[in-house]
Amino acid sequence: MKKILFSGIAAATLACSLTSCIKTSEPENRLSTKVPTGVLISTAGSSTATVSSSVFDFNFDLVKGTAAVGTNIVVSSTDAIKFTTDEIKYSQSYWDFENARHEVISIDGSNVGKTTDGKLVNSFKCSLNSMAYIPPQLEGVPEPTLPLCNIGGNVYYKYVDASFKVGDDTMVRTFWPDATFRGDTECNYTDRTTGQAKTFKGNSAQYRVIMDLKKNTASVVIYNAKFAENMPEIKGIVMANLPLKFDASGYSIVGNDSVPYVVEAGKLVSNPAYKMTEFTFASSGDLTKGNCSFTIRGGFNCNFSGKYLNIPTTAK
Amino acid sequence: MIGTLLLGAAMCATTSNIGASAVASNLNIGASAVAPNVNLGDTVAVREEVRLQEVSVVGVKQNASLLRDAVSGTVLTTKALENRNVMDIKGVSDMVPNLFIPDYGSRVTSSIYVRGIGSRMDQPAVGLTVDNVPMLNKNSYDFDVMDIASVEVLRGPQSALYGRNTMGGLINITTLSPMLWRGKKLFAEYGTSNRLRLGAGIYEKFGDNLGISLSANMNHSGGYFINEHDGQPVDRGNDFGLRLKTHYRPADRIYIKNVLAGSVTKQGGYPYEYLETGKIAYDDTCSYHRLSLMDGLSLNYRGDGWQLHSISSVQLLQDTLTMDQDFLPIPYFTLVQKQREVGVTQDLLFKGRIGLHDNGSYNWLAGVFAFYKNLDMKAPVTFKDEGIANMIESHRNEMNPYYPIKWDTRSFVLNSDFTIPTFGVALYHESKLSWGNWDFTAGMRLDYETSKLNYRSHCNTGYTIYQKTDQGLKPFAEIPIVIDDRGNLRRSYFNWIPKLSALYNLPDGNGNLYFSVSKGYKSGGFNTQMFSDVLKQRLMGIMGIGGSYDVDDVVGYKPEHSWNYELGTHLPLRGVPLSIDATLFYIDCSDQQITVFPNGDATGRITANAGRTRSVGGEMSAAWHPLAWLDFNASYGFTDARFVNYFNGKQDFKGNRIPYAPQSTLFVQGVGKWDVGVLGMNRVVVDMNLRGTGPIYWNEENSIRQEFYPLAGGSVTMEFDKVSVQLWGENITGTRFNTFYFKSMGNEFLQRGLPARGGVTMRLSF
Repeated sequence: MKKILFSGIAAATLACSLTSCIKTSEPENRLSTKVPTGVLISTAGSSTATVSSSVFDFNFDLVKGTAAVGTNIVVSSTDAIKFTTDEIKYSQSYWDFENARHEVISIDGSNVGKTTDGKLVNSFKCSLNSMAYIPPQLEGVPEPTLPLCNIGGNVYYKYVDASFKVGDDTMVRTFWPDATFRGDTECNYTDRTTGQAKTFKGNSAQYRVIMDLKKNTASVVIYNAKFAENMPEIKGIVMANLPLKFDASGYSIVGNDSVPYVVEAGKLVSNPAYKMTEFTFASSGDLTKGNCSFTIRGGFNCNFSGKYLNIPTTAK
Repeated sequence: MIGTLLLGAAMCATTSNIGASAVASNLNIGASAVAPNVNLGDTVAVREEVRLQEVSVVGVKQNASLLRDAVSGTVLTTKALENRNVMDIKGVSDMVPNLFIPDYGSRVTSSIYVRGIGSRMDQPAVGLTVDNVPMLNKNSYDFDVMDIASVEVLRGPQSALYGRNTMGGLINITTLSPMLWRGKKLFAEYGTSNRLRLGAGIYEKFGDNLGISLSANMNHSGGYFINEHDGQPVDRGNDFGLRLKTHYRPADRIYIKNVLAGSVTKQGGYPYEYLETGKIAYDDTCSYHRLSLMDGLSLNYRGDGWQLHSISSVQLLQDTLTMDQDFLPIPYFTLVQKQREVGVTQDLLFKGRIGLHDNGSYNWLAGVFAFYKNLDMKAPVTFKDEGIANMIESHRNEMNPYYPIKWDTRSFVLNSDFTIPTFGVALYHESKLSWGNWDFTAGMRLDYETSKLNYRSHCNTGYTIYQKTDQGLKPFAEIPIVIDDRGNLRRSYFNWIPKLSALYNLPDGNGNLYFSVSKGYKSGGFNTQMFSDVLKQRLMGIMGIGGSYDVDDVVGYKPEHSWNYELGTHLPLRGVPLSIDATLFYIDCSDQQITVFPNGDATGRITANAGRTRSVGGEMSAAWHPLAWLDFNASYGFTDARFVNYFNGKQDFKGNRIPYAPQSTLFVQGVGKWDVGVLGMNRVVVDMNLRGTGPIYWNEENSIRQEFYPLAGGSVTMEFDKVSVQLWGENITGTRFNTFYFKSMGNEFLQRGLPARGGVTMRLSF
């Protein structure tokens, strides 16, 4: 069931929801919030892409049920994409979890305005939500510095997921520069004692990608890593400062024969026994999904596929 | 200690003891003498006046004799218990069909199984009352009583009247009243393995209205099993018990009874045999020390057609369990569990009887029960050199051999402290309408219980990470480990426990047929044993290895409920020297609390709600008195208890048999008595008996089991005027069998049952 944000009775039920993370401003029928995000800008016909960061500025009109979204994306020292959309009707989906209401506020439109240099902003799909996964707390690994939202006593991210076109040939997609992906890890290996080929599939491992956009490097932290049935979970394996490459399809992180660190008592301890060969983490499409493949300990060939938004398929 | 082996005949009368005698079986309520048609208003007082010859109920909440009730039960009289040297509840195992109380571990372990229902840890499935006072803690179930007057065993749920932890049944021990027997008793026994038991009691009446008894008993056992690691007996021990009983009747309608009992136990332990080597061999100290005190005050007022009973008690249990957790001759880790529990109970019961007209009557019973207990427990687990090396360092260093660790000390302690206050209150009622040949009974109990667990898990230790270099190991980082986790959990339960039955009395007093439906209830609780594992997991987590427990998930378990459907008969078969008691039952049990072993390196055992189980089976007891000098008794119980739904997250046990509960129990006994009149000897009594139990499956997988095993026993008793001398033997064929199985650190262990034993017992009454 869809609901219109803040309308009627719904407003009363949203006390413990994402809206509580949106500041009220004058007049009382308007709310606004700003959310930082990474931005990938690509041009039709080109395989390269430009990476930037920006802030999306949301202004809601509670009475009209509309929102205007503004941003200023610095593409280069001489080029920027700056616009504020028209007032667009928004819709809200929500899901009640254990003690909090989570929402996705969707603001979509075909032609929603023009940039300051007169280009049409179209195919605009934007959502503001609280559905991103938070990584486990692990001493020695810094917590994300992204904007947080306290919902019902629990902490969640305030996250923007957007894609749109500027003019006819420029495609803009947002991504999370510190995202935690969850999904299934499948590993094929040979049992050392029996010599039999085995496959392990589990969902305990979480993959966090921490980007340094200035250095074009990324670290991948694998939380609760488990690659075989009888292997105890490793709290944290860190592949540090691997090269990060962006292109028109998305981004990739590659490392060969990399020695990871394991997190122990708040310290990063190098662990050559867990050397990873042919390590690749890649995200493409809407950049909310990721795939990882690697070989660890010389014989465990693992593949991971997951996402960092936990949006159920059915909304209330 | 007395209790055992008065040289009396098994079932026939002798006047040298507590009274009397009666024909009838000492075993089978169906075979018992005709129960007196006791007016409800007279139950307590009259019961003792019948001098225990009647095999009937002394439990204050029973409406009538078991013979006349829609209940499956057995009453064991003094003579029956003495013939078999029984002074504690473990001794009645197998004498009662479908009752199994394995003798293993130490006196802290009193696991009782009835009809596939039972538990090894925490909440018991079978309740125990002593002189109508409910024992709150299963740890204090196993004690010696030298002057048992009778033991009643009620099978099937008794929760409607007795509440928590009686879903499998109830055992009620009644001790000898000083108002009924005057004199002195001395008891001495010596047997194999230097087993020595002594007892003395004095029972005096002061006028018509005051009786006081004081009895004391001691027990020494040299132990039956040797620890091959040090060559010392494993299971030797000493016990001492004292019981002061005061009965006072200040007026015709008022009867006051007080029992003050205490016992001290110091035992070694535990004869656990490593399955791989077949040896009992471990290096750390094992023992069990217990102090148990209980005072029960019973106030009874008899009105015209009604009675009021108030039963109050104060109970103290203080014990220390010391255990080599790995039971190997290797210094892995040990547990010392110290606990102190103080509890109070109060039961206020009204009951009465209304005659309807010539053809009927209405009996009613209503009461309120409340209890409070507070348990303080400290359970530190000490990791030793090999434990640190093999259970911690090796796991960590296997993960990262380039930066190995070494613990800073070769021993450290994981501390777990608990306080568990528990409060419960219940209202209960039972009505019985007798009309013509029919008796209809309906009962209901509303039971509320709340329990809180306050825990503190703490340790202070540390290790150093080294770096492998060409020059050898160099310190890389020092890791202090300071854990101090505290928290609390609360569980509250409300239960409604109904009971319905219909009984048809056969014409001419030839017994009855009955059908009953009753609900059983066993309380939920906390897996305190898990905390050392939780703490160990926390420690490994600091080292970057292993998943973490959700304390709320693993530490608590839910109540267990059962529905018991029973069809039975009591057939005294008048005119024939044979009486039969038979029952068929079906039990549907939901959320059954089953002990499971955590996978992997975790060493604890947890109680888990196993989903759904069902038990189906039957019991039959018979007593045959073909000749004046000869009696035969037999009982057989069969239980098919299986999991209906039980998936433990990794394995599906559906259809498997429930572990630890035996499929069959068998008891066969023949007793012959001959009057001799030679050398001052009045009579010789010869008792031959055979007990059998099994098969018993030891785990949920049903991969290991104990086959059915028979144990032969017997005694020859020479009775003189005031003295009796008995020569006896147990397991005289030396049958080898196991009574217990468990896993620790993935290793399997068994405890062997007691070997062939024999001895001599002397009793003096004057």
